[in-house]
Amino acid sequence: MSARPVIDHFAAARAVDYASQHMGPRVAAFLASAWGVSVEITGWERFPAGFSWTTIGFTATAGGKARELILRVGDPRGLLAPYSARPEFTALSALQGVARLPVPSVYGYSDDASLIGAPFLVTGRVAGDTPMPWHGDAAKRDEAHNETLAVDFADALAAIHRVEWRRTPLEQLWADVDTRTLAANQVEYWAAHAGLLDDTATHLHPPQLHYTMHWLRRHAPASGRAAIVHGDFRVGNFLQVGGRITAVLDWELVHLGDPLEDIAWAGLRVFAGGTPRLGGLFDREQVLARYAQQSGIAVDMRVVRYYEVLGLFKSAAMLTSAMHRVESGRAGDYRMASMGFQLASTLLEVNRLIAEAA
Amino acid sequence: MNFSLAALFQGARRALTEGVLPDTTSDHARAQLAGVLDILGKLEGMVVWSPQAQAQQLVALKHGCGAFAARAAEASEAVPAFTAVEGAGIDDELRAAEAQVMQLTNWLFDSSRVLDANVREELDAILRDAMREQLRVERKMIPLTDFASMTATKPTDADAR
Repeated sequence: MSARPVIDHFAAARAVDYASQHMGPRVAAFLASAWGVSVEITGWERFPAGFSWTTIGFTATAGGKARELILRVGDPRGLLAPYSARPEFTALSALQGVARLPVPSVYGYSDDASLIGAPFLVTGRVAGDTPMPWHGDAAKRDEAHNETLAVDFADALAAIHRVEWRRTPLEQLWADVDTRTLAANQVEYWAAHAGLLDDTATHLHPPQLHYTMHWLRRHAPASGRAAIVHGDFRVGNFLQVGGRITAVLDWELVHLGDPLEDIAWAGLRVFAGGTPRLGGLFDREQVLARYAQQSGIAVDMRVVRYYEVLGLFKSAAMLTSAMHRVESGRAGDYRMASMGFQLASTLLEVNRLIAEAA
Repeated sequence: MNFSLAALFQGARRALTEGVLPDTTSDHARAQLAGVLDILGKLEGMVVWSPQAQAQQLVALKHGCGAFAARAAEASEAVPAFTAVEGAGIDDELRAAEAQVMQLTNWLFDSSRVLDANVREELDAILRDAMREQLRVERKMIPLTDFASMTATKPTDADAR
């Protein structure tokens, strides 16, 4: 618990102005340019859900037709900044119409921060509520709905992993990815995100985080099939109505990887609300069996356990950077401080998983 | 805990000043908020992490480093020496112990190092045990977080996004 010097950067990262009167006309101009017709925006509403991209719902009326839309903004002071909207837009575009995989429609994106102040993406708004992995949420839900949701959940994940990504625009996006080192690619990505690769800052990291990076490098499994990996596929990132998934959301971490990475992430205990169930809602075995059947991918639990450690490492990297953002005045959301306080329990869980694997 | 408490208080004041105050319309609520901001500003320069907890963490890490060096010596292996920071405050002592654990981690995972498998396993377990004890002490201090309330919308909001 060593103290660090306080860096007061109140203006370290420019705050994005989300006010409807400021951002609304800019979004309207973007859509008008894309659609070739003037656009009026009403019903501007910022949602509190999510800790990364900022989500705003609005109605866009053009040519007498009203569309319910979602604006996702990659705030430069957000959890995973700096952002690019291109991967999420490209993935959602590639996945339109895939059977058993409902996703929002997409209307456009830009990584040009001069347009509204940050990268952004416009998608369709999908009806539904979001089951959450927090303690107690599952108990409020109809058990029959949980069972049908489990089927949809497994089928959607299998559908993602079955997509021939090389036949989509994702091939261009991921042209430089080394498919021989899929696990190691993620280890290095998240190590960099946590600042672990900065030799001048090693004193800022918990030893367990540093150790875990080395453990993951040493034990990285051989690359299996290279597939589209959602990157944050779990309870909390889909919408449902009446026990059926209406949309899989939050594709910001989509990447080329081993499909078992998604399986491991979805099943992490930190997303189980203190229950043995997957995501706090689903029978774990039922989901895995259904997934294997629908995807044709064997679920090798030794590999899944490796990716569970990687998943917690990724989570710890996010928590570490969240707290560093708060410390340096680069956090756009003070809830990041609460996230940072989860680091000790996350690293304890990593420690336990590695001990089990040893 | 490698976080700056002063920075946390500063961030809380900033969140209230920039994210809450402009939308607070009641005079009473604004007055209360001004009081909270004043107290947060005063506390900012006064708070420190629990010295007792830091001392417990230091003991756990030092014990682990010592056990690691002793086991390595039994196997005729020399590990990086621990540079103690005599007379330093608990913050610096703890930071030095954390740095030593990371050095030992680098040593253990050095791909060019040839170690007997049993020795490697034992050294690995010593490091993990030390880090687990440090984290246990830290976690005991931290109350659970209510993320549900942080992401909830008003009950009257539409349930779609």
